[in-house]
Amino acid sequence: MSILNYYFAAPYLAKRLKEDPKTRGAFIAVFGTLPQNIKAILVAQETAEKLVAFGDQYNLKYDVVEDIAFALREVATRTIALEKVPSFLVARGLQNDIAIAAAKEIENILGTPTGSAEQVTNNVVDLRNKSGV
Amino acid sequence: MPTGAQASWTDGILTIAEFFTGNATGFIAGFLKALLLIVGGIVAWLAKGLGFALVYATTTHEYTFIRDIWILARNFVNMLFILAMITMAYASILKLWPNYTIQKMLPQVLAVAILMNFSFAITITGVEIFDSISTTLLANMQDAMDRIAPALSIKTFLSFDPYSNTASIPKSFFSILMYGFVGVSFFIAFVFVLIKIPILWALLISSPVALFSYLIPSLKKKVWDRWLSEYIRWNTFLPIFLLCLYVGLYVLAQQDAIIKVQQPYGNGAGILGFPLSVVFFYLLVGFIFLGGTAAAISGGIVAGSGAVWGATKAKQMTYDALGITGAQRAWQAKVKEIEKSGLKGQVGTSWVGRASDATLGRLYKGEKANEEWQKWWTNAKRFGASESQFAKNIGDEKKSLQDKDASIEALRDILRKKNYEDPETFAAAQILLDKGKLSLDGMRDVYQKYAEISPRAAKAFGDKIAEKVNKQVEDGEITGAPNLNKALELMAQISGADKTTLAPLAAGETEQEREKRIVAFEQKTEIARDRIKELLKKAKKKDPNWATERQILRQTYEEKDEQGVPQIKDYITVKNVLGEKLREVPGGLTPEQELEQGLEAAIAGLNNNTIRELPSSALDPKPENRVFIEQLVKMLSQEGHRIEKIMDDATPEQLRKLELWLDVAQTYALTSSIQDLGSEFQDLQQELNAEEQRLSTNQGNNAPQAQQVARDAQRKINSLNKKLSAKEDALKKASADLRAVHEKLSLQENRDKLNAAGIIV
Repeated sequence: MSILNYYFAAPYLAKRLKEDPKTRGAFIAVFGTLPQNIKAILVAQETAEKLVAFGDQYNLKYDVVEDIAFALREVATRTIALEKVPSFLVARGLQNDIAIAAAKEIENILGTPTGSAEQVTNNVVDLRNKSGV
Repeated sequence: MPTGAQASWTDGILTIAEFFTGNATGFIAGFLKALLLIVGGIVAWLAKGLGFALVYATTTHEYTFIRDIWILARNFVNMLFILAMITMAYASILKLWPNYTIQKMLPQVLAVAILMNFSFAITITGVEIFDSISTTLLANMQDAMDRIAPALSIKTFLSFDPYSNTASIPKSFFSILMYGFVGVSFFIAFVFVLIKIPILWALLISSPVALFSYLIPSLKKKVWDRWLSEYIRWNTFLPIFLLCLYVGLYVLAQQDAIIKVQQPYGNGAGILGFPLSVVFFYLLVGFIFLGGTAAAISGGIVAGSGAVWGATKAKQMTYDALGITGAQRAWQAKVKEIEKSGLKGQVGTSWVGRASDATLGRLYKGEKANEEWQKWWTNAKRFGASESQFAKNIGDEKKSLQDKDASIEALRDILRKKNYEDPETFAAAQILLDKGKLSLDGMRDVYQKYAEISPRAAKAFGDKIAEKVNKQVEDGEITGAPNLNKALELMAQISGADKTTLAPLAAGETEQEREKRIVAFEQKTEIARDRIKELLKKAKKKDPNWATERQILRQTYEEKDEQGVPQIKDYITVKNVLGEKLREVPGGLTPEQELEQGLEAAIAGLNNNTIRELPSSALDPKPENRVFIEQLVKMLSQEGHRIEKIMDDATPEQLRKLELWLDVAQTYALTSSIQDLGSEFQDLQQELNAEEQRLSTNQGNNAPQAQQVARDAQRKINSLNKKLSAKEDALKKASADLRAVHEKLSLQENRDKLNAAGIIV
């Protein structure tokens, strides 16, 4: 795991250079209140490794992997719901099926009980149908 | 005179009428006689009271009403448990009180909840056990009242008859004093025996509250420890007192025999008209009664404190045995540790065939056992035996060399061969060291080899070196800056204050292991500092113009890179670098503070826990924090796992301060990554060119072999193109991020902070 990969694929560090100090400060405040296991996931090398491996699997560019890491952070801080992750990523130019797989990957990493991958997939299909994508 | 047990109670009591009917020869004699008789009466009544109190205190009582009150207390405390559970829930969810989380508190809460509901039965059992001991002692004395009273009969007790007119003033005075001892002893005992009963009731009733207080760290010492101490104290008081009373009564009963034995040594006039044998007897009685009562009271206190100490120690030992060194060690960490180091018990020597069958370590030794086995096996192969065999081999060789009376030159020849596979080399070094003929370089080399093979032997050898070097410096055998510097370096090495000791978290090392190592390091640096100071003192005595302490330390420990910039070597260098910087600051720190800061910074720069625990001000962009920040940034730009460890337990305030240093670290990381990626890109490009060349050479050739080569080349070209594309993407990403981070750092606010810290990006 190179330090370069860690700096963009670890959810705690993802997109930090693009954030303004206020947003970053707000995130740090929320991070401080997260349960220890979630905090550990957000800063873990293991998480970054998993996301880079996911990116390699789908031949994704580094910026896209960083978007996925950022989405994971947003789910962990409850800024966005897991069901919304696919549409969040699709809006950033990711293909539908990869966005759904990324949501599953995030769910696997966080082990969140907020919804199963199937539910997420169904929600995304609904969203897609509604939006006519 | 009445006889029998009950009648004997009146033996010691004389009435006022008897006094007035006596033929007192003078006012003083009459007064003393009256006083003697009154004191005798009081003592006799005290004895009766004490007898009654003893019987009452050791009789089993119906505790129904106490139990009713205890039930009230228990119900109240049960309600408090609900509050405790809510507190734990909030503490765990909101991280408000880290000491009250479910992970930390749950086992204790469960244990206390169960024990609390049985606290009445447990405490009453304790009381009854001690009471049964007291009853046994009392029964052994037969009837306490019957035994005490006749023994205290004034006539029996004194060696003269107080009813007679022959009692002299000195005799009466001395007798009052003797009687006083017994009286005071009985009075104190009487009071304590009586108040013991309500106090034990109160302790029984308050047992649920006391147990509950065990859960609250701030109350544990004040309530639980005190309760336990008092409970033990009041329970043990009576058996101890009764034991002393029994001895006292026995001595009283043996009055004649004791006085007789003493007569050959004290039949003269003695003191105040008493023969010395009688004085001795009175003193003995006084000592036993007064001392016994005091021993019972203080003995109870000691027993109480001992019980508290014992309980704490037992808990600690249990924790140690189980490997629990702090509640904050989560289960996950424990599992990881066990996976790594196996179950505790025999891990230290857990290789197959050596571990005791009875140990847990035998069941599961973890990876550590394999590592240790490998390490042992390497050394065993090298020396044909284990560490102890290695030591034995050296011992044999040493003896053989000594028997041969090998000359210094011959020993030096052995050492010059530097054949560390041969125990003879170590044996020769030991003899030379004993004789004070081993050079500083020799000491260093041999010590290093020892450390590689056997840490235990290295420690012993190191201690011997330290002793010899100190002596040689003192005797003026080691002189001049180069030699003294060498000696200093050797001392620091022996004490472990070198880079290897400060190694960061090793691969697979648990936090717990690392913490132990850090503690060991801190202790070692303390020793190193003391040893170095001691050495300097001696050196300066021998050579006052040599140098100042500061200069020597700097000369010895400072390292510079190619550009001549001082690099961190160890804590002393840090201290100096930091010290230099501080001296430039008006009103800088004192040398002591420098040392402290230097040490702190050195350690902080190398362990995550200390970084987290440091005051947030350590991250402030100030010149005195430069070394610390440099170390931190260096680490953040190189090691993902260190960032991970620091971030996941830092406070939001620390995290906010770290942001700037993360930016700086990212700059370093990106710059270095771009350089690496660039050279990797070039290599791939060259490989691609070669493959393209191979393809073009073979493409036009119709020969099957050439066709195959062309196909291979094409496959490789495709693969290389993919790799190049990925590298290109990484380079683009790194470059874009570097631009972004530079832009961020060029903001005036950040520039000011960096300048203030003396950090150049």
